[in-house]
Amino acid sequence: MKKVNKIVIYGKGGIGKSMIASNLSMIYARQGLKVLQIGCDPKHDSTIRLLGERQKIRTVMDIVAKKSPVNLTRDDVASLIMKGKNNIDCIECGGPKPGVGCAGRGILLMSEILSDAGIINGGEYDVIVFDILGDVVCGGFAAPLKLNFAEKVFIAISEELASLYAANNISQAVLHYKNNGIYLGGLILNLRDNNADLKHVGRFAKRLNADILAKIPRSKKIADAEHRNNTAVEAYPSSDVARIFSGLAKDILECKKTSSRKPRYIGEEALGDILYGAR
Amino acid sequence: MARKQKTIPFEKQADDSKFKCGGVSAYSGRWFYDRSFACGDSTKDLFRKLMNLSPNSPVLLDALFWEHDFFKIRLFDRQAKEYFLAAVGHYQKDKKGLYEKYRCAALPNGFVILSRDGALKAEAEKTLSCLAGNLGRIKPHVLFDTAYNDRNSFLKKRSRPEDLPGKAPGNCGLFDEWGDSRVGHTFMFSRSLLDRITQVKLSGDKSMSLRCGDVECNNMYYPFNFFDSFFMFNTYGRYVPIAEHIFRNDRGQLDARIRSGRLFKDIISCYGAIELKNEDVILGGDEKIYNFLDKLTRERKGLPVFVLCSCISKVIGSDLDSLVKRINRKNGARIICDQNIGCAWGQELVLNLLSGYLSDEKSREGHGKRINLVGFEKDHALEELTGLLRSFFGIELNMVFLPEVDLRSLGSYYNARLQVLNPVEIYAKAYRRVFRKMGIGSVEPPAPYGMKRSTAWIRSIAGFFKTRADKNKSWKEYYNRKLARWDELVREARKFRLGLVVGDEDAALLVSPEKYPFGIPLLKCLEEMGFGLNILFTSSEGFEENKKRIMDLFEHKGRHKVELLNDKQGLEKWIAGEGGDCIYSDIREDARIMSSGKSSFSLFIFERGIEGAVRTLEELLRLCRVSFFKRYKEYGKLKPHPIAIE
Repeated sequence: MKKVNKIVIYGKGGIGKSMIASNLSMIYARQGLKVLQIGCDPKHDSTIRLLGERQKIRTVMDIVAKKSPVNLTRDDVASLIMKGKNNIDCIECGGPKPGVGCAGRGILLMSEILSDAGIINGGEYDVIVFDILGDVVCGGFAAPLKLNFAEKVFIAISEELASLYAANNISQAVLHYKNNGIYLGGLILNLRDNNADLKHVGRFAKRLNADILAKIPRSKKIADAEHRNNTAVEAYPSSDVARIFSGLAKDILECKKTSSRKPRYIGEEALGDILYGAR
Repeated sequence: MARKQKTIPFEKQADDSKFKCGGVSAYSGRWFYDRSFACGDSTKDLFRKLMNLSPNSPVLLDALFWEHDFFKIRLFDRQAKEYFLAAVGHYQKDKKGLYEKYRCAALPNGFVILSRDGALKAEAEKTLSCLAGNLGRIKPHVLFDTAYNDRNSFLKKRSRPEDLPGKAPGNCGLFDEWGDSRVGHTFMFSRSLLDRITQVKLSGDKSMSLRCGDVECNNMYYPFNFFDSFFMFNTYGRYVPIAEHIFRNDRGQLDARIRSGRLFKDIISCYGAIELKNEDVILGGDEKIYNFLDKLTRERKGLPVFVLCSCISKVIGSDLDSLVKRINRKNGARIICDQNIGCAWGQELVLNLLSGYLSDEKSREGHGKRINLVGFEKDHALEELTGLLRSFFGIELNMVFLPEVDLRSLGSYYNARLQVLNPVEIYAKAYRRVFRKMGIGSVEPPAPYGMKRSTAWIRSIAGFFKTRADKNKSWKEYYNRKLARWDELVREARKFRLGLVVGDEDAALLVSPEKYPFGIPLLKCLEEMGFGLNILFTSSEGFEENKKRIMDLFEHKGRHKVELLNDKQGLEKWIAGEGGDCIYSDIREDARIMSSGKSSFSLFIFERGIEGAVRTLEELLRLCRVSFFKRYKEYGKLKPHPIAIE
């Protein structure tokens, strides 16, 4: 059975995880790899750039709401997979309406359904990219780490302090599940302000014992591509941004557990010192 | 050609020297390893008897086995218990501990075993094959509870009945998941098993319950509702069914029939069991709860609806209060809702709901000498007691509330000025919490067993209304007459001794009977009756301490003996000899006692009230005097019999 690269992108809400995940999926697909992107966000907008403009998004929870999970047939499970551009397969978890239910439990259920159907470990895909909502607020959001789906975890950050706090928390979840073969591949810096002072980000990465794999600049091309429901690597294939994504995609594939470093969770006080300078 | 069955010689079966002798255990009936329990029947015969006990109303064994070598039995039909235990006991000799984790229901046409752990299915099948053997009419049905999504469970593997070898869909010998798919549920309905189980529950006196272990959130888990009713309101063989289940039938329709039965004389409180599934947890269950309650309230046509919620609705933040308000406004309904995190144990929750209902009636004030009895099962002895209150003190019974609940008469609760709470501790805490805040006076006199306590019970109630019993001439005349008869019986009872064989765990029951559902102060009653007591402990564990605790109960310590004995031969000798004139046993016609020429007694003969105390003492004296067993003890000897195995 071929080796599946199981990549998980975590990060604070609004940091650009879906954008990074979609660009990576597109690059891998263009390289001829069979790609599955799984969006684990009740908003179900992770794969929107990979699907056709008029393609209706059908979430796992849409199906579960109509049919009990134990009664799902193979056809039901197959219908969860939406065909995207460049033959990228897309799955959106979906979730409850805001303010009700339990989205984390939904991710866990989706993970169980996909696991039982053999989608994750069935050997059909070369690359599976999980795009997971925000912080790891509960066990449900850590489902890919728990159920042996994930392998390499990458955390999207920006120069904003809140994103680094979130990254620190996520690295704690990675440490918690390290016995499942999970490891932190590195940080992906998606800049808000191209001229921002990044010293504190460097200090943070060093203290966390993680590499910053790529620095994605704030770019009009990315925004423009998104407005056209496209990925930057597709809309501007020869741009600087596309080159950065290509390099990142290569690094991610080449990232190995043996070469990865064990992250160090940073305590609250130490984190304050790192982010605000020694007080 | 008939297949030759392999058998285990009785002698080998009886090689149970590694087990301590079972003993004649007060209350708990631990007969487990005593070979004499086999009653000379093969497993096959035992099961046949078990099934034949009540051909039209099945015997239900509602069982959870808790430890490898011990389980408690609470039942009404002692003969059924005897057979069942014997059968299990036989099997246990080979497969110790197998019954752990099983809930087992025996039905006339088969067995239903519910297991938490799907991985045990093979063992369950083997067990049933061995137990049920080739009995024509007993087919094993094994239904697995895999609601917890255990990784190794049946549900997780998404197995279907047809996936199992030799189990085609629709086959009666169904191995099935017992979870979300509801196949097991449909199975129960399709064979009218549910109705029959319900009959058993309601008839009460044919039911037995082996209950232990936790029930966790099964309380509110929909497919289990009809089994839960046994767990929740079942106390030492006396069902206290204060909640009726409203459930959907197999056509998905609400089934709001009110069943009638011994304790269901009138409409009792109901609670809606809303089937909140995994997907409802994820997506929110408010709409489903709303629709259910909406439909339920319309069907109930103005009758109140009590809703117990499990932790799920709380955890996922269902806004039940607002739902209930909306429905109450829309349908003019009366929904009383208790949202509870944790174990949704019925008794207290239902009490909370009822007190919620009653609190709306508070505007009225009680008048006259009227009382409510809370937690007293209605029987002739209770009628006699309340009759005494009425005829001698002018105290009227307003209503008996719990375990029976009549919603139609609940409105009159506040017509009483006094509520008399049953002091049995298992309920009393909840009663105190709920009823003492009702604004009605309350007393909690001792359980009215025996002459002294029954009199104290009456005096306590009369005292509340400032009616002094000692100044009531007609009462004094009645009391003195009964006391004279009582004293006469006590004088005779002093000539007899009664025997009790107890394990270390039974000591607590004997010392603090009010902590347990029967609540009969056995030792104190027997001493008051004048009997000398021989108490034999079969376990040395904590013996000295237990002995002291028991002796401290007695006023006339010199008349009673507490001893330790720990070998089977000694036990038999003790029963036959110094054990006393009559020996305690939960088992009717106990072979061990009969064959030693003695008669047996149990808690079942104890009656409440002054008249009841006299009748109880008369019955005990009759048992002590009876010479039947002495004359025919030779015929009560046990005969060994081989057990058929696969």
